[in-house]
Amino acid sequence: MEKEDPPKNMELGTWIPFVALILLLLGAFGIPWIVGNTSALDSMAAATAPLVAGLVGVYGLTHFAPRGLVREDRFHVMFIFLSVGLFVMLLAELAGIAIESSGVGASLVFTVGFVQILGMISFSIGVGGYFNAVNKTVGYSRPQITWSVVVAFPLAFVVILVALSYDPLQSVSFAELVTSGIVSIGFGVTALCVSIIAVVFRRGRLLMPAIFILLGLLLLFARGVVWAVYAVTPVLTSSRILGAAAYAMIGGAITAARVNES
Amino acid sequence: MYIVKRDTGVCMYHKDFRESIFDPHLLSSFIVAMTTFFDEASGAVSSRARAFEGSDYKIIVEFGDWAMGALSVEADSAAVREKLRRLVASFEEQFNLLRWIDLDLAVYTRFEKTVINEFVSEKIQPDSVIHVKWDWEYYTKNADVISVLRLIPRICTVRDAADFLEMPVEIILNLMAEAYFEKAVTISQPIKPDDIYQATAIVGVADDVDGISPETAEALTQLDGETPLMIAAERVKTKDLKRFLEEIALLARRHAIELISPAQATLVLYSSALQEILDRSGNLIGIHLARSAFHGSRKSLMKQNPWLAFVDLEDNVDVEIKTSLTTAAVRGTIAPETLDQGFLQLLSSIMEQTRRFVGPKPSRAIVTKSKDELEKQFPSRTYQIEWEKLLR
Repeated sequence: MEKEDPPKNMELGTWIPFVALILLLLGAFGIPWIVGNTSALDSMAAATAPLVAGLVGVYGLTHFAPRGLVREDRFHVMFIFLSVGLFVMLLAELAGIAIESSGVGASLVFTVGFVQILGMISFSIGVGGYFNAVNKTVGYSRPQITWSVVVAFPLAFVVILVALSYDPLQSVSFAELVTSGIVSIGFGVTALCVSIIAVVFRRGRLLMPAIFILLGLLLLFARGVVWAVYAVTPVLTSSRILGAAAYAMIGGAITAARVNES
Repeated sequence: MYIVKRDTGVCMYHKDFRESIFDPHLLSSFIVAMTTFFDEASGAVSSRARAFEGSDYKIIVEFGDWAMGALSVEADSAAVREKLRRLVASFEEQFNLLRWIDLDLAVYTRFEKTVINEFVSEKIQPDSVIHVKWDWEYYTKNADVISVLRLIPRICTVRDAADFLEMPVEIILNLMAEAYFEKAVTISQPIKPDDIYQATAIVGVADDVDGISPETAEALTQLDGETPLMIAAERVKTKDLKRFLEEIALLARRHAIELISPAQATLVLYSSALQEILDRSGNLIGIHLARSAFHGSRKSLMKQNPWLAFVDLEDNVDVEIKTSLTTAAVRGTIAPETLDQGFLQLLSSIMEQTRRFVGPKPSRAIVTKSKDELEKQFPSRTYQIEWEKLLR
């Protein structure tokens, strides 16, 4: 009577693209780091971050887009928005490369944050819609209360952190502070939503994709926070490595969702 | 209802629940003659006759080893046939001696309880309305029944009678079953908000809606055999539900509307439950997985319940009941118990699969919320579904 679990080899086969992606990242960042070639690491990070965002975006859309944008299916819609968000993040990475190579300098780096805000909005719409559906269906608390808590915590966290560490002499401009603040609050809110989803599904197979999305969003949140607090702009290598790892985690979530469906 | 000895055509037991239509001995001889004739003509080893039908009567027959049962009905249905088969079997078992010799075994007195259990008890519920006949004293000789009928009002519910006499409801239920069996009372069922009616004619026929409020007349268009009265009342924004139900009762007496068959009511209840469960599952695990949970479950249950092939999904997770199944339910060729069992297995299997994705607590929430939602539409019938079997 119970649906059979998919054969193990089929399940493992579905993980191959994700494993390949992780190996690509390890190779791209690990080898230059081990040999101590920082310029190679910089170039690898600049090339890999947009590449991973694009690849995972395509991977997500090829799997989820053919079924159409079914309005009632929030689970499906979430993955489409995550994939679209990755394309926007790809544009943000390319904008960073353009600013860096044109020599305009740090004064325009906040524009990268603008594009990231669009990506963050796409992520938030997808995750928020699904979070709302879960909250309505499972309904452990009233939606207004849940949303207030989910928004209040990251907002307070980022504002307090920025206020405590604000140094007028540091290189973060006001425009950068605002954009990076919005980006980190947005990703923080979205990550908190996913963490609640993960707690709800803690004993089910949906936990796996939720954990991957959570890891990805936490990395993007951390990327925003270190920009706002420590002036680690998105054009720096460490920030790009964080970004590439985050996009790979979203890829992991898409793969886990595919495994569930196989 | 007639029980006839197959080889002689002698009527061994009969009971008229309403006015007498046929002479029992004439009818039993006729049925035996007809079945023997057709068996001879067709060369059949076992009798194939199922019913004899006229313009205003229908007699269904069921065969035992040496006796056969005949029952005059308004409509043939699997459930009634099942009852008749059970009755014939228990008669054969209880009066096995009559197969070989004709004896006075006090059949009428001794078989009465079995007939009441099969055909009368289910008609009388605590909410049923008793109408005591004005000349009831001519019908009953049972001392207990007489003493109760003397005291209770002419028209009251079983529960009211029990309260009035300060007696347990179960005792009044048994006594009223006896009284109904002896035709000293008639029984009618009160109209409940979750009853499902269907309009019998093109709605709004002038004579039918005469004296009916415009709201109720408008509600006729909602009585499509799928919508409970309460939802129909909500849709036409009825202010007074009690008056609405009274008017529905009036329309039912005028035959402008009729209560749907028990099988159809079960089908509507379970298809609504299935929809609620699938909608909520789809919200959590996505429509793709919810659909495969449905199809996987249905496939695994198809061997035991082939009729599940007629339960399908349209777009997304919209439940579609194919006409073949609806027709079978309307005609009563599928028993409510069969639907009940199959749908329960289907729901349970879907929940089992959903549970694997979301874990036990959210899956319990799906079941509880679906039950709560269904209770709004079917307040008194929701508990026909064994929800606890879906919870784990």
